[in-house]
Amino acid sequence: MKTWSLKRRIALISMLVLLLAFSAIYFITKTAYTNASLSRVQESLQSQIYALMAVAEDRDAQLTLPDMLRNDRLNHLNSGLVAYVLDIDGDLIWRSRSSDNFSFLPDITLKYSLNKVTQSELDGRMMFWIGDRIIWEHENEMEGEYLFLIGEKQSILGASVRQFKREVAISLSITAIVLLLVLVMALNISLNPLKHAQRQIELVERGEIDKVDGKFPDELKPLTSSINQLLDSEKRQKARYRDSLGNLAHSLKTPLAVLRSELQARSQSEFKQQIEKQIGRIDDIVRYQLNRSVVTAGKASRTIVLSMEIAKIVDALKKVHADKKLKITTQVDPGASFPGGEGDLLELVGNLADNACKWAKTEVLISARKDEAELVLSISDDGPGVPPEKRELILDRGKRLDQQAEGQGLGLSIVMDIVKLYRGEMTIDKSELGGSLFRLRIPY
Amino acid sequence: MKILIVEDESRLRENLVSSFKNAGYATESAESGEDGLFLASEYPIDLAVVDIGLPGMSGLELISRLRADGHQVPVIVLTARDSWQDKVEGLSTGADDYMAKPFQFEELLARCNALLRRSAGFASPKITFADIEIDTMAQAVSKAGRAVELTAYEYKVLEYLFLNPRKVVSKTELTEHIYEQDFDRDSNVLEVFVGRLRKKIDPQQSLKLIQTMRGQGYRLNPDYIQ
Repeated sequence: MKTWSLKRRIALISMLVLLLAFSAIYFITKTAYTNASLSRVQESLQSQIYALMAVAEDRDAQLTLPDMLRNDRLNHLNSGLVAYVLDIDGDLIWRSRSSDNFSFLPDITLKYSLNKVTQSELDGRMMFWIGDRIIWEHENEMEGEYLFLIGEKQSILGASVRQFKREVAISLSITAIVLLLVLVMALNISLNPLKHAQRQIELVERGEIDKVDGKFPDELKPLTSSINQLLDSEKRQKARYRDSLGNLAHSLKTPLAVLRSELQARSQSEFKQQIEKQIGRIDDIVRYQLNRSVVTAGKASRTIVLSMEIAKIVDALKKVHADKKLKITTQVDPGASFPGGEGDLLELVGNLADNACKWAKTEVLISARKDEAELVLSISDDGPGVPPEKRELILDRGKRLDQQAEGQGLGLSIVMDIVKLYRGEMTIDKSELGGSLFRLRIPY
Repeated sequence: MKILIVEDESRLRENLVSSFKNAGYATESAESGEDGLFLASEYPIDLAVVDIGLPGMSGLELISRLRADGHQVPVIVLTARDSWQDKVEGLSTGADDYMAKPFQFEELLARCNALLRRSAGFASPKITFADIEIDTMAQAVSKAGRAVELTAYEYKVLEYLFLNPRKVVSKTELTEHIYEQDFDRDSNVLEVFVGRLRKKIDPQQSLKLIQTMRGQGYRLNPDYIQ
C-alpha cells in the first residue's frame, strides 16, 4: 500500500464504494420488488376468494359451488391457481378443477388470513395461500364453519422475481462500469497537473530544464514554487561555492608561483628540492579538490553538442602541442550526447586527449558513440602504449592520487574521479593505432 | 627577443623579469591589463606572458583586444584556474599556449622558445644556415658540429637574425628587440657586438654569413638561404 500510486488508491477506494452502494441498491430493490409482488399476489387472491364466496350457494342445506368458475385459471389443470373449501374437520367440501393433480389437501392447522399471504408446501410445491374461515347459515338454520382457501404456485412469482433480479443486476452492472470509466477519466483529469509536475521535475533532474514550468492548480502552486525556490537557492549556493573555491585556488596559486620563482634563483640543494616537492603537492591537492568541486555529475544546464565541445578541445590541443604536428582525428556519432555538464566533459576529454598527445608519435583519435544506454568515449594514440601489466597499476594509482599526489598523472585521477561520480568506468587497452586506448563508458 | 610580462603580483613579476633577463631576453613588464595593452601596442614585442587574473582589464580581455587590433604576437597565458574549460576559453580567445600556476620557470622558458621559433616559421628547435646551427631550446650555437661560446647578447643577436632570415634587420629594430627600453641606444655598441659575433662564428672570415647593408642594417647572406 505504501508504494501504491495516488491514482491506484483512489480508484480502489472508489471501486469499493461503488461495489458497496450498488450491492445495497440491488438488495433493497430486490426486497421491495418481492414485497410488492407478494402484496399484489395477496390482493389478487383476496379478490378471487371474494368472487369464490360470492358464487357459493346453499342447496339442500349443503354448501355448494359450481363446477366451472368464471376465472378460467381455476378450471384448468396446471394453471397454478387452486381453490379449496374445507369444513372444520378438514374434510373436502369443494375443490377447483385446477387442483385435480394435487393428491393432498391443504393443511388446516395453519393460520390463514385474508390480509396476509401464508406460505406452505402442498404436494411438493411451494404455494401462497389466502384463506378465510366463515360461518355459513344454512337454509335449515343450522350453522357450519368453512374454510375457503385459494392458493397460487410460488414458482410463477419466482420466475418474475428472477427475471426482475436479472434485469436489475444487468442494468446496475452497466451503470457501475460506466461510472467506473467516468471515474477513471475524472481521476486522470484531476491528476494531470500532478503528472505534469512530475514530468517537469524529472526534466529538471535530467538537467534538460532548470525550473518547474507551467500553469498549476492552486493546490499545487505552493509545491512547485517551493521546488523552484529550492532549485534556485541550490544553484546560487553552488555557484557561490564554486566561485569561492575558484578564488581560494587563485589566491593560493599565485603565492605558490611566487615561491617557485623565488626558488628559481637559488642553487640546487636538498632544501630547494624539498620545497619544490611540497609546492608541487600543494598544487596537486588544490587542483584535484578544485576540479572535484566543480564536477556537476549529471546536472547539465543545457544539452551539450558533443562534436562542438570535442572540437574546442582539439583546437586547444593543436595549439598546445603545435610542435608535434599531430594529426588529431575525431569521430563523433551524431546521436551521442553527454549526460552532464560541459565542464565535466571538457575535463574528461581534455585530460585524456592531452595525455594521448604527449605520448603520440603522429596521431591521436578521439571518438564518441552511443552504445545502448551508455556513452562510449575512446581516446587512442600511436605512442608506446601501456603494457598490460601496468594498466591495473595506473588505474589504481589514479584512484588513490587524491591521497598521495605526486604530480604525475593528476589529470588521470581527475578523470577517474569524474567517471566515478557518473557511475561510469574506465579501461586501458591497446589501440588500433598501436599505442594506448583509454575508453570511458558513461551510463545515461 | 623582447618579452612582455603582464602580472599583477609584483614579486612574481620581478622574478619573471630577472629570470628572463638571465636567460638572455629583453623584457617589458606591466602590472595591469591596461598598461600591458599600451606596452604591447607601442613597443616591438616578440612574445607576451599574460596572467589571466588581472585586476581591471583581465588577461583574456587584453588578448582579445590585441587580436582585434591585428597583433599577431604570440601569447602565453598564466592561469591559476587550470580546468580544461578555462584552458579552452583562454586558447580560443587567442592565446597560443597556457601555463598553470605554480609553474617551473624552465618549462615556461621552453614554451616561450618554442612559440618564438614557431611564430618565425621554424618547426624544429634547431636552425641551421651555412655550417652554423643554433639550438633555440638549449640556446647553444655550434659551427660544423663544434660548440661556439657566445655571450647572451651575442646569442640573441644571432638568434634574431636566424629567426628573421629573409629580412634586412635595422640596427634600431635589433636594439629594440634585444635591449630594454631604457638602454643607451648607441649603435656603436651594437656594431661591436656584431663584430665579435662575426669573429666567433667565422674566424677565417670565409663564410660572410652576416652581411652589413649600408644605411639599412644587417641580414643573413642570401646565398645560404634556400
